[in-house]
Amino acid sequence: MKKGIIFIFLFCSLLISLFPLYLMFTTSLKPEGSLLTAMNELWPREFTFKNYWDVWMSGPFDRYFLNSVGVALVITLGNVFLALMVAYAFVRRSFIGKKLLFGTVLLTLMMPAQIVMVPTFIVMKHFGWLNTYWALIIPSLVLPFNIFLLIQYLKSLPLSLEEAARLDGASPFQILFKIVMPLTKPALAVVGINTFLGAWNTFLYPFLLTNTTEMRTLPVGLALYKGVHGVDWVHLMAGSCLAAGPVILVFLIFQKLIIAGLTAGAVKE
Amino acid sequence: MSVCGVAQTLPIDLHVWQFSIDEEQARPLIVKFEKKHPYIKVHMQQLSWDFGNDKIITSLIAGNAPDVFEIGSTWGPHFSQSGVLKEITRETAPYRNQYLMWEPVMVQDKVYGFPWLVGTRFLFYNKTLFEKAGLDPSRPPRTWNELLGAAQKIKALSVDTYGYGISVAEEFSPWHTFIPYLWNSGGDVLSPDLKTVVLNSKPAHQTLSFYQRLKPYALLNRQEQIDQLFAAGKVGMMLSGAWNFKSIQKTNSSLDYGVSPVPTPQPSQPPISFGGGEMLVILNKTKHPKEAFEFVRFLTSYEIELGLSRTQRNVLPSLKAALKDPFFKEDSRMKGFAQQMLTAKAPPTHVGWIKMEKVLSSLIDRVMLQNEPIAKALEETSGQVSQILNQTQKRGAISDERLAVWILILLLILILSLWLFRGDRTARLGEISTWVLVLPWVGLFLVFSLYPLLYSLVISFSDYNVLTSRFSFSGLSNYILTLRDPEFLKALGHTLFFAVGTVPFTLGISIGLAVLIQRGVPWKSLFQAGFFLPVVTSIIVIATLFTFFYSENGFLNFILTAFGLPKPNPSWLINREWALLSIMAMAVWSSSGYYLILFLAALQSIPSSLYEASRLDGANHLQQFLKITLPQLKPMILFVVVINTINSLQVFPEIFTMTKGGPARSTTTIVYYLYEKGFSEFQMGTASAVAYLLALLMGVFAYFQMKVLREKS
Repeated sequence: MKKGIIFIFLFCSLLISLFPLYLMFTTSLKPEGSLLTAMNELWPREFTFKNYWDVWMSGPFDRYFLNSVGVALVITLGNVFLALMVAYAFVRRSFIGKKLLFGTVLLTLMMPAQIVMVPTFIVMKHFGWLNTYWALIIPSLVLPFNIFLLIQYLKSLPLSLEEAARLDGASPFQILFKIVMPLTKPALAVVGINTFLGAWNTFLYPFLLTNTTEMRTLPVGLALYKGVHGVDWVHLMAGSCLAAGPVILVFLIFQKLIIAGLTAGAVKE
Repeated sequence: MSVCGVAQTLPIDLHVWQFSIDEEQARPLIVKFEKKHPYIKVHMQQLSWDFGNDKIITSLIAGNAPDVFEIGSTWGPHFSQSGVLKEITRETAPYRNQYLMWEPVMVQDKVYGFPWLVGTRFLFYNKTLFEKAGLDPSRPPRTWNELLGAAQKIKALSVDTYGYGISVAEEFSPWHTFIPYLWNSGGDVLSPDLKTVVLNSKPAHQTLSFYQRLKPYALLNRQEQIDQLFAAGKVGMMLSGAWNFKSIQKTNSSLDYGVSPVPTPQPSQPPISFGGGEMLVILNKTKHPKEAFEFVRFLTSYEIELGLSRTQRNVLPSLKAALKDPFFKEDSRMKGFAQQMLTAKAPPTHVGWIKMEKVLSSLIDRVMLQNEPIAKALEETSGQVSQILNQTQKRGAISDERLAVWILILLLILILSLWLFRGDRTARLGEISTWVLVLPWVGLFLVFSLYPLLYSLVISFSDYNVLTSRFSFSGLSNYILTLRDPEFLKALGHTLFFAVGTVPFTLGISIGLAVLIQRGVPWKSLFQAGFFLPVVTSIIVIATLFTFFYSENGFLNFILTAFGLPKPNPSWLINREWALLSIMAMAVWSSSGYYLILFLAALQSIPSSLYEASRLDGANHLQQFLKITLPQLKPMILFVVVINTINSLQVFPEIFTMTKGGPARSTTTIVYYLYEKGFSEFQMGTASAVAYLLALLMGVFAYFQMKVLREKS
């Protein structure tokens, strides 16, 4: 009885939460020009995939797509390993300048992207990295947010296992990657998902730092499409679905894995 | 290497950035140019309208700007007076009489650019509605009285038909469509020498009261909405631009409409309208000035300008001769457009105009939406305009002598904070393995985080104009002027309201849902995945989607009407009371799923033995939640509160996409304010100071949140 109420409540919340996405998807299927009459049709009376085709054919979208996938994957991998290393050092080790470094991590979180944009661009220019994958990947390899998140999580882990391993003669890296990492899986899953999403959706930096068609990522390509063809809802929504679709698909496919990651780390004492 | 073996073996690389031509379209043009000039290699890049200007500015600062680029006429005065552009007075002399719209790129007699594709505002009228209302569809209104009469008759046709569309509640369009009427009644904002404000005058009174008389028969909304409803055949007349040709063709090609010049107060007066367009400019530091000008001339040739106008149908050639091409006689709408262009004029070419136009747009909101008396609104607006005029004439700065004192104080603060953060007293250098863990990050951190932070810190103590790269220390004047700026305080208020209004909701919803899901319901994984899905989409997409959702004829109003519930008028995003709240609701919706996942992860780490023990003690679900779940979740709650607050205080893309800070600046947040300062007023110093003030605010917030939440245990 009680469970039933909870279920119905959750189900209704879920519908509200998914509704705008549903609207995005159905709008993208409506034929061009029908929108004013069919704006609020819950299910389009006429279907078309032409909007998707129009967007896809307007530029080398396959290339944009591959760029986005590659960049997002490398950034995600970098964050999972490097951020864990840093967070582990912050939680378990003492070293000179630790508190100062931690304070500045917080400060970087608080700086609006619009402000660091200009100096970052200048650095890239000096390194000769403008319009290269380096510029898209390197600055995001260890994001302060992820360090912060993993620190919070590692703090709650018991020390006992690590100490036992150390007594068994395990090296610091063996302890980190063999003992701590498996325990951190739930948090690492979150880091992985969020970093991938963030990298996938980011627009401003790739737009500023790239100059040629071959280097563009998906959001940049879509923004340029929007720029030239003017705003019209059906194509805009088709473009948005193109950007969101792959991530949703990946998420749905790996959902079991991710959720398993979330539960596998449960600490039983 | 080549057959002819000329000395010029290395081709000249010419970099061009522009907004107006599709890359596909550009390729054949470039091939053609390169054939004519075999020693020039053109690298053309297309920019996006949304952030293209940021890209230009960023690359100007970094000294990486292209040889030729395109700027909008609004920015003409800023760029022309900055020294960034090459002066081309002599080169353009032969063409001055042949082309239109030189004003935006001229400083007195000097020319800094070449007008390229131009446009104007003119009257659109729906012939079908004219006929229904008993008006002559071949005779659009020429005077204000005729316009009023026609609007009245069309409004009388039905409840959801409007005689005229008045653009309000944003910064961009309202002044564009208002200023033609102001000019036609003999008024203006600034005197011709740009030294005095002449806004508070009889013509302005007349124009505003004309607008008021029009109001009962008009649709008051954002231009985009007016355009859409005109296309749907619900609006009788509007002043708008040529982009409508294409969009009407797409959405309602059967619409029977005509175009004609702006109506004037008296008959047989030349109808003046707002003119603007795209300018091609050459970088002052270019290595190839001659070739750059050659390319500019190529793009502004009869053939190319006319070709672009012909294919895009929303721009006109700046070349007068091309405006008289037979093409403009064939199509009655393009003909009307071209005719109005010949009597169009540019707005005052003052560097402060970018700010003045915003003030002018909010004048229209005040009179039309908030029903303020004209005299009062005009007087105050006039005051604001003259304030901007004075500011840009001499920027208030704090004397240089005090700089040393300030730097000393800053140094003291720095040392103090170093001492506070000195860390463990017993800390040694640390083990080698520790440094192996940390070093890759420290390297990246120094280059990509600390350097930008210090850079902007230094800039924040200086008067730094991005365009001129003129740099002089100004002590704390940026901070003081910012704190004194009522606009900043307003933005601060909006930002705090946004954070305080969203964080508790997001937190409550995400914890609540996480705990309920964790409790074990059927289809658990469906819920885990489902609530997370909104997070997958980028904020720009979500913001676009919600603009659609909140619009006048969008889904929200559709549902409210279906249930017979009241809806705000004007609709959500253009309503001063509702705009910020609407964006806040969206923010809660879009971020809750994200924090939900964090809480789900944290819930996994609570030992189940705790629950089992308490169940044996007879605790119910609520008691378990309060005694076990909440305390165990505390580190994560603390984290979410701090991060969510930081994110909320930085709210920007939502505002940028949905409202651009409007209506009447009611959704201007701190980061939006910062963005305007840095990237449309070119004051990077002020923008950096704003960023540091914001960081300080976040620091204070984070400190107290950590303190309060830690003490509770």
